[in-house]
Amino acid sequence: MQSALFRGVVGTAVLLLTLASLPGVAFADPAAQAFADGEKLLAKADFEGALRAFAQAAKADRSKPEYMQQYALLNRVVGLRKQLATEEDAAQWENIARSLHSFYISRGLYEEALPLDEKIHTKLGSAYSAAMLAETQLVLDREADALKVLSELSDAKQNANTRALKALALTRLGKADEAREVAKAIELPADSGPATIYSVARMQAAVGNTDGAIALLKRCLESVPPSQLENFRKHAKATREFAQISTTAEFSKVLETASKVAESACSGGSNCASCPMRGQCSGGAKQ
Amino acid sequence: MMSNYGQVRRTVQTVFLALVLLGAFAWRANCERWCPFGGVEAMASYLAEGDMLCSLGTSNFFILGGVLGMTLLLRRAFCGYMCPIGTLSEGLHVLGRKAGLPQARVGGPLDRGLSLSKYVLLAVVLWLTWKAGELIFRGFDPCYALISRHGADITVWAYVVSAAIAAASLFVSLPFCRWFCPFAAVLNPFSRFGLTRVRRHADACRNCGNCAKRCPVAIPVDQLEQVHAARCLSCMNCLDACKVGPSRAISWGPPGRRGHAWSQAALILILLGCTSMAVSASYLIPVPSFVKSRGEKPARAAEAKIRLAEMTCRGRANLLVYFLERDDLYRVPGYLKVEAWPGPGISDLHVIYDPSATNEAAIKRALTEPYYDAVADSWRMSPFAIEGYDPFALLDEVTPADSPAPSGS
Repeated sequence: MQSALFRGVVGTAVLLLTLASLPGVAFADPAAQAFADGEKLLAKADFEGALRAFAQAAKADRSKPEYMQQYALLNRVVGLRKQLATEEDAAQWENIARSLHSFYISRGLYEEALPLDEKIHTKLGSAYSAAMLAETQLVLDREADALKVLSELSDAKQNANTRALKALALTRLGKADEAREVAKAIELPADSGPATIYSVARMQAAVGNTDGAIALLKRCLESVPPSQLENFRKHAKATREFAQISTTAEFSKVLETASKVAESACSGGSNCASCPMRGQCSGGAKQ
Repeated sequence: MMSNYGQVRRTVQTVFLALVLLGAFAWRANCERWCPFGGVEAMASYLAEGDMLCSLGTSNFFILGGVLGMTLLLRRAFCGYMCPIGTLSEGLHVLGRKAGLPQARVGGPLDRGLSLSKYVLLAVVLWLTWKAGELIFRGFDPCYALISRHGADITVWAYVVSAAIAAASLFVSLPFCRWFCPFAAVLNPFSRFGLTRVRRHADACRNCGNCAKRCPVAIPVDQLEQVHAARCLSCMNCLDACKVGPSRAISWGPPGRRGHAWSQAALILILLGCTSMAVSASYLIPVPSFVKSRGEKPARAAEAKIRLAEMTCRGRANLLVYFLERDDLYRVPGYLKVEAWPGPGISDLHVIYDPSATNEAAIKRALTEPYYDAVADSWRMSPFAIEGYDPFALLDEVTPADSPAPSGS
């Protein structure tokens, strides 16, 4: 009798331990699972499928604001994708296209960004649109296409950013001498934005001017608003052009460079204490 | 005859400390909104811009008014009966004395010199806070560390300061309250003109000096006829210490004849009355802590009363305005006035709008939909969750035709 009781207790304990050790299988959080599925579907550019999965996650667990936020964002993106096809107002179309481009790039959906960037460049034909398209092409290892887009841009429309990207494309195509020629012609204006400085820094690294690249990367990070610093740091660590110097102490040190500019608008952080705009929000969210 | 003023006071102190601790830890309330010093710190920004700093509310002004009122009547009785830092510091001093630690009685020129520190500290705190537009010192504030339950912006220095105060309190009576408390510097000018005072009746006094020895803020009561010192806490330790007996050799009350002595019950009633009035007024007169308006007020205006989560502070309220001022599909046209009471948990928001240009549903969508910021080239997610508002239900209900005229993406 006593032995049967003992076996029963031990058996129950073993069963409970076994079940407790399988939370991922037996007791998976359906909301988390749905959200993870949504992320996977989105990575495959299955927007409708991802939207359904995010909706499922948000409905299943309303305590996680990120589920609802991701659903709301993707719902908006899906709507904008449809709206883009029929939009006739040029300014409106450009705004929608830019917002979609921003979403695709932030999500690493470069294959989705490419046709969009091509359409944007066809419509605008500006240095900005050429650089946007060439950037995407370079990420997708379409150096020849990027070179073609940038070469077609007239001299009047060329700027430091487009020239830097052109030199990058040339370097990757093995045309180092031509790349150096283009690099020589680059004059970086004093008021250049961080994206332009970053492109030139990458180009300098590509043509072998390590010191110049490090100095420009420092200047770039100093000119980036605090809330965007981390994105630049991550990109720099993963960028092919910096690969040869990414293990050096100098490179690690330069990535620690702090921003010297204020945010352009309320950063929307979790609280004022950790807000990079701390002390500057008294003038309102938009400054 | 020995009396029990000290015992009554300790009971009152314990009750107020318990209320603070219950508020902070059991009810998890935003106790910062009831700090009278918050009212001093936020005054400049509120007068200049109509906003309170961080998570402070206009309740800080009401409680400040209540404390100043009680100070004009009772001198620094707030410090002697209500302040949690004072209570803890005093408790530690008693502990140090009972443990036989050496006790230093700091009086005279050194005491006066050190007392000036609090005015310097007040000037520095106010100047830098007003300049920054943020409560930049709260990360170093032991009181904030307590009431915020180790808030996100608390630094190790808050505990260093706490430890220093605690250690000093074991050997000296009320070191922080006497020398470094910036709120004491605010109260002192009011306390100087306080109605009530301790009076020593020389004809009955035996000049034993016990009253002065028991004074926690080193007032030489035995050498005075009336205590006018701003630092008097109305603690009545001097009355307790008097061997002749209270109201014979020493009394406390408004100026006048000896028979005008007030009992300690009157003091406690005034304390409770001022506090209750301040708290009641803050609820009965709900003045918003954050106000922003845009455009001309139309002939007819409507008001959307919204309760939402994540509008935790002034910065978040600014973010809320940022979402309301969006220029995309969910743009809210027409006149807008935002009146908000930011704070932890669910907060109140009143949006006054032109009903001929927009509606409440559009306002709720503007507050919760993601926004593409073309200048920053990034999507901004709304952290706000509106009580009773289900975006799923709304998406089913509202067709694009109901949406306000788009002017952007």
